[in-house]
Amino acid sequence: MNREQACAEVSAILHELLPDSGPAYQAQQHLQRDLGIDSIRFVQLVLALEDRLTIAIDDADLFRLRSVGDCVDLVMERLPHVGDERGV
Amino acid sequence: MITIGAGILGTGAYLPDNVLSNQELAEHFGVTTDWIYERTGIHNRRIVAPGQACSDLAIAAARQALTASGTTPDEIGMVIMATSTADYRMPATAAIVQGALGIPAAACFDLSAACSGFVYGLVVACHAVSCGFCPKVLLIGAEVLSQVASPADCDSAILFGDGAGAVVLGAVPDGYGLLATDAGSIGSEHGAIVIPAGGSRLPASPEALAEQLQYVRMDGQQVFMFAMRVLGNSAMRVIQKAGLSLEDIDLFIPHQANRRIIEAAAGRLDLPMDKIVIDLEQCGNTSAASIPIALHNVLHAGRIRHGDRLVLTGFGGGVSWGSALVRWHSVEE
Repeated sequence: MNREQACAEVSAILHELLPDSGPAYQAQQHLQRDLGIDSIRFVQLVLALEDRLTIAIDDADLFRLRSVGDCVDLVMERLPHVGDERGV
Repeated sequence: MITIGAGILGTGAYLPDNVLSNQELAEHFGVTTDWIYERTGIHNRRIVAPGQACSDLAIAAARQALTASGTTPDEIGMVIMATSTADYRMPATAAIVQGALGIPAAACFDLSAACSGFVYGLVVACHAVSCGFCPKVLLIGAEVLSQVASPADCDSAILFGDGAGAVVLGAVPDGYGLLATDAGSIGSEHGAIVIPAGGSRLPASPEALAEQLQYVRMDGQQVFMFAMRVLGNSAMRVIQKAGLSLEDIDLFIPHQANRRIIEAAAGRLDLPMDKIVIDLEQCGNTSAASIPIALHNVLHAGRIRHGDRLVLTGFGGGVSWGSALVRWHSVEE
C-alpha cells in the first residue's frame, strides 16, 4: 500500500464515522479539535483501522494518533507498501 | 519470594461532606445534567472544605480500617500513602498520618503512581508482610483532586472528586490474600495525563499559574481507549498468572475512572455487569482512592464473602496500570 492508498483508506473510515465531514481530509487536521472526534468515536476509529486494514495498533500507538496524518503514518508503518512514497 | 500469605484484614473509607452536583456543573459550563451523566456515570462528587487536606481524609479512612481489622497502632510497621495530591511536596503525607494515629516507629512513604497507586501499594504492602519486614501495613489511597481540576476545564471538573480509602494488610492463611499481580507503564507517553507545573521541571511560578499549568491535563480520547484496553488485558493476565479462568473470578473492582470506560472494557471481555463494581455515581473519579473506597462499599454491602476471588485493576497517569488478584479471607473465619 502506498501513501495515497493509505490516505484513501483513512479518509473512507473517517467519512463513515463522521458523515458530516470530508470526504477529503487534510493531514494536519486534528482528530479532536478539527473533526470533533470524542472518546467513543476514537475507539470506533481505532477498531475500524484494525479491522478494515487488518493491522494491530498497540497501546503505545494510541497516543500517537492525534491528527489525520498520524493515522496515515501508522497505517503506512503497519502495512507492507510498494516503494517509499512518504513524501506524497 | 513470598513466605507468608498476606492479604487485606480490614477496610475504611471517608468522603468529605461538601457535594458538587451535576446541576451546579451544568450551570457553570452551559451543558445539561444528562450530558454530564451520559459521559461519566457520575451524579455527584464530594469536595473538601476550605483548609481540609489530603491527610485529613486519609486519617479518617485509616481509623476505620484499623478498627475493622482489630489492629492497634503499635502493630503497624509501614504506612503507604498512594496519592498524587499530597499535603506537601515534602514530607510524605504518610508520615503525617502516622503521627496523627499514634503509630510508633514505622516506614512511612508516599507512592506516586496516579490511579494505579493503590494496586502498586498493595503489592509493596503484601510483600513487606510476606518477607517478614513487619506484621501489618496501613495502605491508604487518598486524593484532593478538586484542587488540580481546572474550573475552566469541563472534561476534568465533571470527573474528579475527593476522598480516601484505606486497608490494613497482614498475614492470612495459605491460599488467601494476594495470589498474583500484573503491572506496567508506558513512560514514553507520560505527557498524556500530566500536571505540568509544581514540580522541578516547571516550578509553580506566577507565569505558570497565569497559564493554568497547575491543573491536570489529559488526552481524553487516547486515555479512554488505553484504559478500556488495559483494564481488560491486565485483568486477563493476572487471572492467567494465578492459573485461573475468567469464570473463577467473583468480583472485578476496577479504578472508578468513568462508567463508559468500565462498561466498554466489560463488553470486550463479555463479562456480566453484576460481577463488576461500579461505584462512582455519588463520589466521582477519586484516582488512587477509588479502588479502596469501592472495596469498602461492596464489602459493607455484603457482596464479598470468605473465599471470593477479586481482581483489582488500576490504570492512569504514567501511563500506568496494575492488577492484583486477591482471595478474600474474612477475619471471622
